[in-house]
Amino acid sequence: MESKVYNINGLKIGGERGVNPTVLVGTIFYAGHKIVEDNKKGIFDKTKAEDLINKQSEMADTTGNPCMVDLVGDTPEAMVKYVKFLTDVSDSTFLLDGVDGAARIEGLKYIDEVGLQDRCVYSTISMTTKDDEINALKKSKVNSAILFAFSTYDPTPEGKLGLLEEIDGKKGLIELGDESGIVNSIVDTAVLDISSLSLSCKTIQMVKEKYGFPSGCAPANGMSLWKKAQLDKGYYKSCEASAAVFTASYGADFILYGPISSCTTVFPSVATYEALHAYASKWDSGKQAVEGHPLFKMF
Amino acid sequence: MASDVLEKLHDVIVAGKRKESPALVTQAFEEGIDVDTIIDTMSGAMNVVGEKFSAGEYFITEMLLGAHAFKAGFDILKPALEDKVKKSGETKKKGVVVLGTVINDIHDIGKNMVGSALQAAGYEIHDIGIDQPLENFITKAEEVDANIIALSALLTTTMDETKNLIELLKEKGLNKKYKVLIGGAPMSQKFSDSIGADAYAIDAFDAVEQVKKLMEIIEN
Repeated sequence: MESKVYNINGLKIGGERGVNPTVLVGTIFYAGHKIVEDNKKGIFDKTKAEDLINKQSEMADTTGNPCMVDLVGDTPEAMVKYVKFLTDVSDSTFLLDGVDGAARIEGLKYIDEVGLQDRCVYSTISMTTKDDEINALKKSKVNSAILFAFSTYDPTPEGKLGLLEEIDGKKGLIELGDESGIVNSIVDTAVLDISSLSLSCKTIQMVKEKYGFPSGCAPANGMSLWKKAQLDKGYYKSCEASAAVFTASYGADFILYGPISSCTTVFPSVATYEALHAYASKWDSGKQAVEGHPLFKMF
Repeated sequence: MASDVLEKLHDVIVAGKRKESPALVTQAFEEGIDVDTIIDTMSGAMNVVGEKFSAGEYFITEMLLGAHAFKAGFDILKPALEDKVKKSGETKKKGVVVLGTVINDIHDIGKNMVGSALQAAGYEIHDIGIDQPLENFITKAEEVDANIIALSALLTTTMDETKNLIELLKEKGLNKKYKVLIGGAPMSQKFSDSIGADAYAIDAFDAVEQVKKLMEIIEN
């Protein structure tokens, strides 16, 4: 299957390996983020938040890996405040990543009101997404979303892949996305813990081969449960960057790498890998990396 | 020559092959193997899964697959187990647990693993599912004459529901009737102590230990 490439707010995601660089997504306002003073009301240190967002953009410019901001909102009120803030201080594409349906739906309403639909990627549509969310998406002008391929019953690559189409009489994720008016479907292959990252990466390859959708995953989800890596901060940063590079090596089109503050280690690590890989691809198959690729920024 | 069906059943649970365990349970029945021997085999297999997890040989993926292979086999076994209890006139149960994920929380991995591990350990489990209002936990506990209410919450925004359940039990004068066990990523022993829960479990196999301790308290 030919790999699909989407253009979301000027950001290209997807395509053949070695051509478009991996989009790196840093998370802000996550559970326990120190810059958040009140996670329910969405009160936070605006100066620090702006610095973090700007730092990630700067790393993207320096390395050639494009970026998105993953906005985690715990409540409808907080979600709207975070979207408003981000769009006030940055032109970055963002994931609308409310922790529950209510937060995501309220975020959608605000995005439609102020016309931010082209900058938003809805995160996520899953097998447990309720009808009220599907209906809210249908009404919304947002047309990019992440399909979350997580199966409680079968966490193997085959089990995750099977969720994209009808399964046990239930609609598959592709149909749910279509029903919701999603044009740009991006697949997240669901990381359970750090060891399962390897299975998620295998699934990325399977999804791209069978359906061509841009695919990726969140090594960050495995990192947060990886107790041994948390013993030492320096040790943790190396593990986090390595997990992101491993994910990129499987051809991930996007990587949710973790806290946005990790951009200073993750971006150069992934970009070095991608520059080397793109150069090897040029020799092997004549594929030419796009302008601005890490190949032309890092070396 | 004796069939190796029990050995196969044991091995498919350890290997997490949920599509194969029901047929092997059925085959064991057909060969006349009694229900206690079958459940002992399955419980032994779950213990191996737990040991491998503790030893760092297995990870959450294998735990999940093992738990589902156990449950798929157990669902075949359940009617025979209930029938046996009825015929024997035995009324004493090892322990009855109502299990679920709190409202506004749709996570079920940990809950499902806890359910399978407790079933494997011989406890009667009533899993009410995900996204459950607190009243549903209490209604089910009253209905099945439970000993323990076990709540799972995976979000910082939903973990306070565990505290709310304890408050609700107090309001209804039921706090001495049921022990409350909590678990989930954002929680800790410290949090458990702060809300007055009876126990906190760090994972599925710890939940078995905690339920065992709570049942000892209840019975003494």
